[in-house]
Amino acid sequence: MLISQIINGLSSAGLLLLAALGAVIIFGNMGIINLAHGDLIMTGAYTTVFFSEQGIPFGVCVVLSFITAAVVGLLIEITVIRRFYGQLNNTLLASYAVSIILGQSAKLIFGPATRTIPPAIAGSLVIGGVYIPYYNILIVAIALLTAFLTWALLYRTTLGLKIRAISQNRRMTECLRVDTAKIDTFTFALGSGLAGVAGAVIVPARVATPLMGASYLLDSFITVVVGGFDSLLGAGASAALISEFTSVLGGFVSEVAAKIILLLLVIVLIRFRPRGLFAKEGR
Amino acid sequence: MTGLLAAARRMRVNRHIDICLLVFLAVFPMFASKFRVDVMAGFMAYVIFALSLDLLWGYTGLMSFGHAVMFGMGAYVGGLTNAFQKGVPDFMAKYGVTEIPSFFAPLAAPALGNALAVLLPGLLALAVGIFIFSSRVSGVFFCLITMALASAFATFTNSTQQYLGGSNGINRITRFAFGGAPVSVTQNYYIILIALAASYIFCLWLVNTRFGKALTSIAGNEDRLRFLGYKTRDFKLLVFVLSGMLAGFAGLLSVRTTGFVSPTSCGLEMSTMAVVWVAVGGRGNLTGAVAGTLLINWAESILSERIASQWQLTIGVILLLFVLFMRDGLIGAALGAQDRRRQKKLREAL
Amino acid sequence: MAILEIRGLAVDFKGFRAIDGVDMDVERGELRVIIGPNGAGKSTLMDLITAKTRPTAGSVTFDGADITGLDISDISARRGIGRKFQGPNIFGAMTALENVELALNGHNTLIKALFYRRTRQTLEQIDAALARVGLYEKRGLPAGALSHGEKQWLEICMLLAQNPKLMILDEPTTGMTAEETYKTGELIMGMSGEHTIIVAEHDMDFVRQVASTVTVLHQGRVLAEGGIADVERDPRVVAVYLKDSDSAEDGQESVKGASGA
Repeated sequence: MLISQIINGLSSAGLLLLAALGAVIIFGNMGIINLAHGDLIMTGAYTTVFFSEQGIPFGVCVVLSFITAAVVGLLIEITVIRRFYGQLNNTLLASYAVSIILGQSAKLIFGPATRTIPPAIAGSLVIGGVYIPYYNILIVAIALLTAFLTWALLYRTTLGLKIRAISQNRRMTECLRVDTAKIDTFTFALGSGLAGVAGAVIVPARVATPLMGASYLLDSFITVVVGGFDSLLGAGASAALISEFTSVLGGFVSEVAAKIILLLLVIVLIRFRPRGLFAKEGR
Repeated sequence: MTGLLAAARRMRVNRHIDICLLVFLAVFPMFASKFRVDVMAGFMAYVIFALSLDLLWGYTGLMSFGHAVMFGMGAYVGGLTNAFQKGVPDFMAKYGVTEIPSFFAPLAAPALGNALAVLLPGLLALAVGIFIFSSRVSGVFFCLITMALASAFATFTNSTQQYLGGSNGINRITRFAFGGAPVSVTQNYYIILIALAASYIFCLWLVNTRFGKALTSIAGNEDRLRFLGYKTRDFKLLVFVLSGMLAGFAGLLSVRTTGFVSPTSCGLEMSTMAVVWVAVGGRGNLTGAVAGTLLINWAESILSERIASQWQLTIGVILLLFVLFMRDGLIGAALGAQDRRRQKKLREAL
Repeated sequence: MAILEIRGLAVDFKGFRAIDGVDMDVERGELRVIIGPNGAGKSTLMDLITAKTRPTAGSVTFDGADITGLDISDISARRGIGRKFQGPNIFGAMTALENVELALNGHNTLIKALFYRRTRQTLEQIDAALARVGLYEKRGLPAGALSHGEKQWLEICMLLAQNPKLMILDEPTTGMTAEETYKTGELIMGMSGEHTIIVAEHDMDFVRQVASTVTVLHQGRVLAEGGIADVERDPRVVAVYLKDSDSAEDGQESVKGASGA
C-alpha cells in the first residue's frame, strides 16, 4: 500500500519535475519567464501523439518530441526572446503572444478534441492486491534519466560550464570571449526540448489538448520558484514536495481547495523567500 | 479663439484622440443598432478595467497578470447583489438554500452591495499590497504572485457551485434600476458612458499630480525616488488599491450590462487580455487603454463572426507584431512622433 | 558637536570586510572630500550612511540622532541627508524642470503628493535651483536629452531642491571635461556652508580645487586625514597610491599623478 502510494506519488512528481526542468534552466540561467513554456510542453505532447499514431515506438517519440520542441524553442529565441533580453515586460508580452500562436495553431491543426495514446508499457505491477501501473514506473525512470542527463550536461561538460558561468556572471563570461548569444540560444533550445520531453511523457498518463499549456505553465513556475531557480536538485525536491503536499492535502480537503491552498502558500513563499526553498547561497 | 487654438496645439496628440473618442461614444447610439449599443456599453466597462490596469502597469510599472481578480470580484458581488433582489437565486436554491446566507447579508441591500462591489476589491488589493510591497519582491516575482492569485481565484469561483454558481456563474442579471423597472439599453449606455468619463477624468487628474509623476518614477528608478525621501511602498500601495477599486467598479458595471458573470471573468485569460488591450493601445497614457480596448474588442466582435476559429490566433499574431515593431502601442507611437517633432523645434530654438 | 559622527563602522559581505572600522567626524557646513583607490570603500561608506546597506558593526550619528540602519526614505526626507549617485541618476523621461520639481523638499508624503500644486512660489524655488547649476534655459528639455555633464549638474540641482542638511556626492565629476569639472567644483564650493557636503572623488585636480579637509580611505579603513597638502605628502598615502598606480615610472611621483578610472 505504502509502496504503491509512493511510486504513484513519485510519478506525479516526475511529471512535475520534467515540466519544470526546462523552466529551471531557462529561468535560472537567463532570468526569463517564458509564457510559452506550457505550449512547448504541448508541442512535445502532440509530436508524440502524431508519431505514435504512425506506429513509431514510444522511446523514439520522446526523442522526436525533444527535437521538435527544441527547434521551436530555437526559433522563438532567435526571433523574439533575443531581442528583449533584459526587458521583462516585453519578454512577457512577446512570449505570451507566442503562446497564443502555438496553442491556436495546434487547435487548428489537430482540432480541439483531446488526444491520447496508450501507455508505452501497458498493465500494472501487482503487489499484494495493489496496482502500480508500469507506466508510472517508466515516468519516474524517464524523469530521473532526463534530470541526470541534464545535470551531466551542466556539470560535466565544457558547454555546461559556460552556461553556468553565464548565469553567475554574464559580463565576466563575455570578457572571456565566450559567445554568450550562441549559448543563450542553446540554453533556451535545451530548456524547450526538455519541455517537449515532458509533454511526450505526459500524453499517455493524461491527455493532450491544444490549450493544455496554461495549467502546466503555472505548475512549472511554481515548482521552479519553490525549488530555487538555480538548482536542479531543488527542482526535483520541490516537485516531490509539491506533489506529495497536494496529494496529502487532497485527502483532507477537496482537490480544488488543496490547489488553492498551495497557490496561497506559494505566494507567501515568494514573498519571504523569492530565491526558493533550496536556493544555493552566495549569488 | 486664438487662445483656444494655441492651447489645442500645445496639447498632446492623445488628448485630441480622447476628445474624438468621447464625441464618437456620445453619438454612437444615434446611429447604431440597439444590439450594438449594448455591446458597446459592455466594452466601455472593459475600458474602465483597462484604465485601472494602465494606472498599475502603464504608469507604475507593476505588471499584474491577476487584475481580473479585482474585476471579477466586483462583477460577482454586483451580480449577487442584483440576484438577491429577486430572492434566493436558482443556482443556490438547487442546493436547498432557502434564504440568503448570512455572510451574503450585506448584499441584500442594493446600495451597500454595489458599494461593496467597489470596496472589497480595494480591500483585497490593500491586503495583498501590504503583503507584497513590504518586501523587495521585484517585477518577475510580482508577476508570478499575481498569476498565482488569478489561478487561485478562478479555481475558487469555478468550484463553488452552491454560492457562486460554479462554472456557470451567475446569470440573468438585470440592468440598473432606480426605483422601478430596469433602465433601457440606451439609458444604461449613457450611464456607463458617464461612469467612463468620470473614471477617465479621475485617472487623468491622478496621473498629473505629483503622486502620478512619482508613480512613473517608481517604474523607472524606484531606488532613486526613495533617496529623494519618498516612501515608495506607500505609493505603490495606494495605486494598487485605487486600481483595484476601479477594476471592481468596472466589474460591477460590466455584470449589470452583460447580464452574467462566470469564472472566466476573473482568471488568467481575462487578466492577460486586458494586458493585450493596453499593450496594443499603448500603455502609460490612458488614451491607449481606451483605444486598445475598443479596437480589439470590436475587431473580435466583427471578425470572429467570419473567422471564429482563427480569431484567437490573429490576436496572438497582432500582439507579437506590436511587441516587435510597435512597442509603445498605437497611441504611444503617435505621442512619440509628436515628441520628436517638438524636441526638434526646441533644439532649433536654443 | 560634529553634524556627522561615525564610530567603528564596519560592514561584512560574506567574509569580505568592505568597511573595516571607520571613525570620522564631519563638522556642520564643512566640505569634506574622501579619496582612495578603487575598492577602498568610498561608495560602500556612502551606502552605509544613507542606509542603502546595513552595517554589521558601529554607528552613524547625524545631528545628534543615531541613524544607523534606518530606512532610506526616512534618512532622506526626515533626517535631511541627500545623495548624488555616481552615474547621472535622473529620470530621463521627464523634463529637467520636472526632475527638480520631483526632488523639491517638503512634498513627498502621500497626501502632499496628491494635492501638490505648482505655485509661483514652488516654481521660483525650482527656477532658482536650475539657474544655480546653469540649466535654466534647458529646463524644458527631457532630461535624457541633456549632455552627460548637464545630467550630472541636473542631479546636483535635484539635491539643491531637496535641500538636505548633509549632501553626499559620489564622484560627481565622472565623465566630465576639465572645464565642466572646474565649474562643478565652483558649484559645490558655493553650496558648502549652508549645506554640509561630503564628496568622494578620484580626480585629484578637482580635489585640490575644493578640498579643505581630505579623508583617505584604503581597504575599508581611514588611512589618513587632514589638509590636502599634508595628505599629499603623507608617506603612507603615497605608498598606497604608488602601489595602485599603473606605470612603474611613477616612482618619485606623489599623489599628484593619480587619477583613477
